[in-house]
Amino acid sequence: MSTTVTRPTDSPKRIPWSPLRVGQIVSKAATYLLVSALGVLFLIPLFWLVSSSLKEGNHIFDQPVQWFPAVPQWNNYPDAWNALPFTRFLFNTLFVTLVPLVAEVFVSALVAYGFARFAFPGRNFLFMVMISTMFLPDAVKLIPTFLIWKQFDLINHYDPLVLGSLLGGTPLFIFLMRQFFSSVPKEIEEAAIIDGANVFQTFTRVMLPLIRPALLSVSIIGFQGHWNDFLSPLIYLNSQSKYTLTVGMYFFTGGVNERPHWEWLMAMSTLMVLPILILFIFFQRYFIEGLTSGGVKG
Amino acid sequence: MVGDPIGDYLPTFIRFLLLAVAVVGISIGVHYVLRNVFHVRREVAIGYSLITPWILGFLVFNLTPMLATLVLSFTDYNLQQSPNLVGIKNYDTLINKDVNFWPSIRLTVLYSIISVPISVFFSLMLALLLSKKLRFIGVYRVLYYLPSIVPAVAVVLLWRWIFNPDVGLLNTALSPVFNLIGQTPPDWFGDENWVLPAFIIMSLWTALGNNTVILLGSRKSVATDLYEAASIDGANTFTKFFRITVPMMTPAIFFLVVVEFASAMQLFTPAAFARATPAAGRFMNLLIFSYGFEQSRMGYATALAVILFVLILAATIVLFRSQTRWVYYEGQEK
Amino acid sequence: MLSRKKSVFTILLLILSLVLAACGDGTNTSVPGAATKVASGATPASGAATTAAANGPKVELTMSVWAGVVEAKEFQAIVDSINAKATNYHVTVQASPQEYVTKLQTGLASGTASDIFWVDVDHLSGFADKGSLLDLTNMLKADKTHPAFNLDDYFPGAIAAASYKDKIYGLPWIQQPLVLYANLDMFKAANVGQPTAEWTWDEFMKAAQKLTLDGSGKTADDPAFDAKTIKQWGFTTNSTDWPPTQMYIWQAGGQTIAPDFKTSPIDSPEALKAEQWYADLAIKSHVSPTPSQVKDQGFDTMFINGKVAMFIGGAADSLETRDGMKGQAQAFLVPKGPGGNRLTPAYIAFNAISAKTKNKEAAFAALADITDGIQKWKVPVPRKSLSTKEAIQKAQPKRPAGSIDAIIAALPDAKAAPIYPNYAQWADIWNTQFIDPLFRGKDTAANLAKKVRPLLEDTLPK
Repeated sequence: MSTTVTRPTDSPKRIPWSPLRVGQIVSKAATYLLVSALGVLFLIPLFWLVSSSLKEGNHIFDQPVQWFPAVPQWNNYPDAWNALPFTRFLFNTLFVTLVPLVAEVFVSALVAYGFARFAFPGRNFLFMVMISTMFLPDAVKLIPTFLIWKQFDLINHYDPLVLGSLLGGTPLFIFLMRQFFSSVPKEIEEAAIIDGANVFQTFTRVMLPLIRPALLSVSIIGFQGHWNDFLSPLIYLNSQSKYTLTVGMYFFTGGVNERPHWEWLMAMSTLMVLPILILFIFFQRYFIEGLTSGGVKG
Repeated sequence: MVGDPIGDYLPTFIRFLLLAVAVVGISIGVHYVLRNVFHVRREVAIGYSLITPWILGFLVFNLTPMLATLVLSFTDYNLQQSPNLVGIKNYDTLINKDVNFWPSIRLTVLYSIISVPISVFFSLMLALLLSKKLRFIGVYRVLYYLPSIVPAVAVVLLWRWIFNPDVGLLNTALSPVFNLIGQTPPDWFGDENWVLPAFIIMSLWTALGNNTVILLGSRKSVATDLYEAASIDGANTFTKFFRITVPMMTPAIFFLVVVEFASAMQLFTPAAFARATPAAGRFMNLLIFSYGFEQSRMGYATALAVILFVLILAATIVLFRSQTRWVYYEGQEK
Repeated sequence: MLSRKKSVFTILLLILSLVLAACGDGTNTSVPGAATKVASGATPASGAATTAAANGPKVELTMSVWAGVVEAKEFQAIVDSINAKATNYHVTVQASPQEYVTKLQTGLASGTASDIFWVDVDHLSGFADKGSLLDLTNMLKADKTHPAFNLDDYFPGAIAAASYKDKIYGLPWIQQPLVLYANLDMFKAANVGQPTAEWTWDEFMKAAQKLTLDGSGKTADDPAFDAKTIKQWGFTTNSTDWPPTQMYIWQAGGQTIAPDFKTSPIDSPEALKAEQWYADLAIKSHVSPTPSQVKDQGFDTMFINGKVAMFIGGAADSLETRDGMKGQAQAFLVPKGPGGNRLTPAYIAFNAISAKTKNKEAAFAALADITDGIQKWKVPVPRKSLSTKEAIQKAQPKRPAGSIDAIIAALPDAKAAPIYPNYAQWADIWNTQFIDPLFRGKDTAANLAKKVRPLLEDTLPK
C-alpha cells in the first residue's frame, strides 16, 4: 500500500528531508521493526520444538527452560523413526492426504460455483443447511458415521478417510470459495459466455484462476487437516501397518503403564512440520507473489 | 516396507475413481433430467447439477447423523445396548439438575463472543502487514505461518509452559507490569477467574496461520486499479484503507467470523489439554465427549450437542441476516 | 446430441462402477488375514507350527490392548510365540494407547470390537452390566487343566474385582499395590532414616519435612524456612488426585463408597480427617511442589531427576530401574494411617472376551495362553504361584531385592476400589466438585464434603 503515483513532471532533483519523506521513512522503519519483532515471536514455538527434540526425555520440562541443550541428542530422530514403522506411516499419510485433497478442492470449487453464481429455488436455504453441518461436534457424529461405513464393510480400510472428499467436499471450503466467487464481477463471466464458453470452460479457464488465493488457502488448510488428523485414522484403522504418522506419534504419549517418550514426540513433530512448511513456501511464492499488480482482474 | 502397501491402497483408489465417475455421472444426469424432463431454466438446472455432489454427501453422511442425533437426544443410550426412549428427561436434567451445564454454557458462549472479534481483528492486521511490498516479506510470511503447523500435541505442551504461573513465558514477560500494580501474576489455568482470559489469549494463536492466509489472499484479490483510480481522485492512505481495502475484504472477513464462531463454540483440543480448573466451567464440546464416551451416557451427551447446535445456528442466522449491512459482494446479483 | 451420447455413456459407466464396487468388497476383507497368516507361518518355531498348518484353518482372532510403543513390542513378541504354538487360533494385536475406551466403545456400538480385549478395574463392571463381556464362569470352572484357569491360585480380591453379580467376566493379569519409592541417596545426604514398616503418617511427614530444603539448606520444619527458594522436596502429590485421596481415607478407617453401594460417606469423621490432612500436606506444608510446578514437569520425572525424595506409585512403575534415575532408589511399604492399616487401591487389569465374539471356544483357548503369557511378563500378578520373590525377580532382574520384598509385603493390603457401572459419573463429580476446590485451598474438607455428598449419592445405583 505504499505505492505512490509518479507524474512525468517530477523534477529529478528532490528535496531530501521533506516532512512527507521523513514520515515515509519512519513508517517503513516502524513496519520493519514490527514485522521483525513478530517474526522472532513466531519463531519461538518452532525453536522450542526443535530444542526439545534434542534433549533427553526427562529434562524436556525442566524449569527454567534450557534453550540450547548441553549435549544435543541427535539420536532421538532415528530412535523415534525406528520405534514404529514410520516409513510405511509416511506413505499412508501421503495417500490419505493427497488423494482426498485433490477431490476436495475441485469438488468444493464446483459446488461453491453453483451456490455463488446460479440462482435456483432453495439456494439460500440449502446453503444454510450446508453450513449448519459444521455445527455438529465430532463426538456425536462419530458413532453414526462409523456405522454408515460399517454398512459398506469398509472398516480397517482407507475408504472412510478418502472417499468422503468426493461427496461434496468440505463445507468450510465451499463456504470460502463461494465468498471469493461472489466477489468476481459479473462482466467477466458474461464476457466468457459471449466468447462461446460453456459452463465447464468458464469455470476452469476463467473463474478458477481468479480465485487462486482461495485455492491456495484451501489447499494448505486441506493438506494440514488431513496430515494432522488423528481421530479418524485411529477409529477407522485397526491394523498397525495402516496407521498414519499422527497416530503413530500418539503412541509416544505413553500409555497406562508406559511413560511418555517426549523427546521422540518432539522429534516426530518437527519432522511432520517439514512437508507443510515446504508446501507453504512453494505456494506462497507461486500464488501470492505471482499476483502482479493490475494483472488480477480486467 | 511393512505390510502390503499397494494391496492396501489400490482397492481404495479404485473405488475412489469409480465413485468420482459415479458422482460426475449423477451430476450430469441431474442436469439432463432437469432440463429435458422437467424443462427448467438453464441456470436452475446447472445450479442444481453443480451442487449435486454436496447433496449426495449430505444425504449419506450428514442427514443420517443429524437425524440420529436428534432422535438419540430423547433416549438413554450407553453405546453397548440398544437405546430406549425417555422423552425429554435428558433436556430436563441438563437444564435443571446438572451442576456442569450452566457454567459450561457461560464459559463457551462468553469465550466465543469475546475471542472471535479479537482474533479476526488480529488476523486482519497481520494480513495487512504481511501484504506490504517490503523486502523479504515472503520470509516473514513463512515465519508467521510456522507456529500454526506445529502438531497439536506439541503445541499443547508449549502452551502449558507459556502459561505456567511460576516460570512460564507469559508471566515472565508480564512481571514488570504486575510488579508495577503490586499484584502477583495470575495462575492462569488454576484460577477460575483467569481461565477465560487465558483461553482468549490462546485463541490469538488461531489468528495466525490459516486465517491470515485467507485474509492475505483476499487482500491480494483487491484489484489494484481501484487504488490507482482512487489516487487519481486524490485519496490518501487512510481513505484507501477504509473505503477500498476493508470493504473489498468483507466477504472473507464474514467467512472468518462465521467459521471462527462455530469453531470457538466447539473448542475441544486446547480445552482438553489445558486442564483448566473445572470451577470455571468446562467447554461444551469437552463435556459432550466426557458424558458420551467417558461416562457412556451418549443419549445425554447428544442432548447437550443439540443445544450446542441450536445456539450456533441461531447466532449464524443472525450473522447472515446482518450481511446486507456490512458485507460487500461485488458480483452478487441478489 | 453430443450431450445425449455423453449421458448414455455416463449412465452405463455408472452401472458398471456400482457392479464393480460391489464385487470389490468381497475379496478385500480376506486379504489382510491371508497376509498375516503367511507372515506368521514363516516365523521359525518348533515343529508344532508345521503340524498346525496341517490341522486345518486357524480361527482369526483380534485383540485390543492399550500398550504404548515399548510395551506393544514386548507384547507382540509374546503373542508371536503363542501363535506359533497354537493349533486352532491366530491372534492379531491392535494397540491404541490413546483414546482406548473411545475406540473400544465405538467398536462395541458397531459390532466391530475385538474378540479379546484389555479392561481395567474401573471399567469392567460397567461393560459387564451392559452385556458386552462374555460370562466366563462356567467355562473357567469346567477347565481343570490350564494353570491360568486355576481359580484357587488367584488372590480372592482379584477374582472379586473380575466379577459382577457373582459371574466372572475377566481374567486378571496384574494387581498392583501402591508402594513408597524413596531416593536412598537423598535420604543419606539429609541424614534421615529410611522408611520402615512401622512408619505412620506422622513419621512420614517428619521425614518429608527434613527432606525438603530451601535455597540455604534449611528444612521445612525450620521456622526460618523460605518457601520461595525450595530446591528439593520431600514428597510430591499431583493435582489430579495422585496419590488418590481414597487411599488416605481408607487408611484413616473411612470409605468413599460403602461396600453395599448405598452411601458415599465422604463426610464421616475418619474421612474428613484424611481429606484435610492430605490437603494440608499438598497446600500448606511445602513438602510437595505446587500443582503448577508438578503439572508441567511430570511428577514422576521430578523423582527421577532427584528433585523429590519420595514418591508413591504403582509397584510396576519400577522407578528404580528407569532411564536417568538419579541416585539409588528402592520401594518400601506406604506408611500406616490413623485407622491402623496401610490399604492401597489396587490397579487391576483383565483380559476379557467380547460377548459378541463369533468364536467363543477359540477365544477362550487363546485367553488361557495369552493370560499365562502376560502373567509371566507383568509384575505383580494376582496369582499366588507367580507372586513369589523368585518369580518377580525373574521378571524384573534389575530390581533391587529390597523393593521386591516390599512389593510382596504390600500385596495383601492392595484392595480393589468399589466400582459400579456408573462409577465414571461418580468419579467426575468427585474430581470436579470436591478434589479440585479442596486442593486449590478454596474451602475446607468439612464444608466441601457436606456439599458434595448428596451429588455423589445421586449417582449410586438405585
